[in-house]
Amino acid sequence: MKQSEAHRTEFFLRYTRRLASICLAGLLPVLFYGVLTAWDRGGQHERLQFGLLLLSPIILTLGLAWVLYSRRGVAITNDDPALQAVAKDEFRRLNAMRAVRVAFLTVMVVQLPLAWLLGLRPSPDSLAHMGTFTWFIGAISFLSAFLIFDRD
Amino acid sequence: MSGAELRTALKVHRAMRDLTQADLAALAGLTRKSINAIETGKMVPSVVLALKLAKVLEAPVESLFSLVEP
Repeated sequence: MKQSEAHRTEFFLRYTRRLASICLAGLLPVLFYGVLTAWDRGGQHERLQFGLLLLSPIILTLGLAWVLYSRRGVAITNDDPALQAVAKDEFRRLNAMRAVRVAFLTVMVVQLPLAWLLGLRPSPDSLAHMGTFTWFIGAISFLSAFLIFDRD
Repeated sequence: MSGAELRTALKVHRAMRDLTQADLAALAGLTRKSINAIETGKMVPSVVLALKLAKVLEAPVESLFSLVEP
């Protein structure tokens, strides 16, 4: 029985979930920072904005350090059969496709209120804000949906 | 044929061979989550995956999967 391979596959399943969670946790403060920057023209929330700006790299650094530490010396090579099994796994691919659909629909639905809200306070940066928000909302909804579909 | 559901006997065949979901997943080169998703009806496996499972369990694919009319 390929018992060790089964354990390694489980390890890679948990490992990739952790990575996705850390990326999500890092993206959320950036999105909130963006929302504050787009709306806070008077600079009333300067301290909060600064805190949010610092929070994302701190979360990412601590999160990635934790994820790397949790490897506990397990080598990751591209030709590892356990890693290949996780990468080519049909259920995960199905979940990723479902998450892409959710992200696409979320981005489409969010476009109208976003355009309306940014149109209320037009500025030369509004287009850049809208593009950035679209990207972040897409990435966040993809990661959230994937983590929900892929849970045990 | 529309509305027909897939019935799976994967769990029975797996139990007959005294395999855990993780064991079967390792033998077929996929993850335990996939085996669990197929057994609980969350996922309909592709033809390739169904044939792979039939080969690993040494059973005809029709005995593993069948269609149930509503």
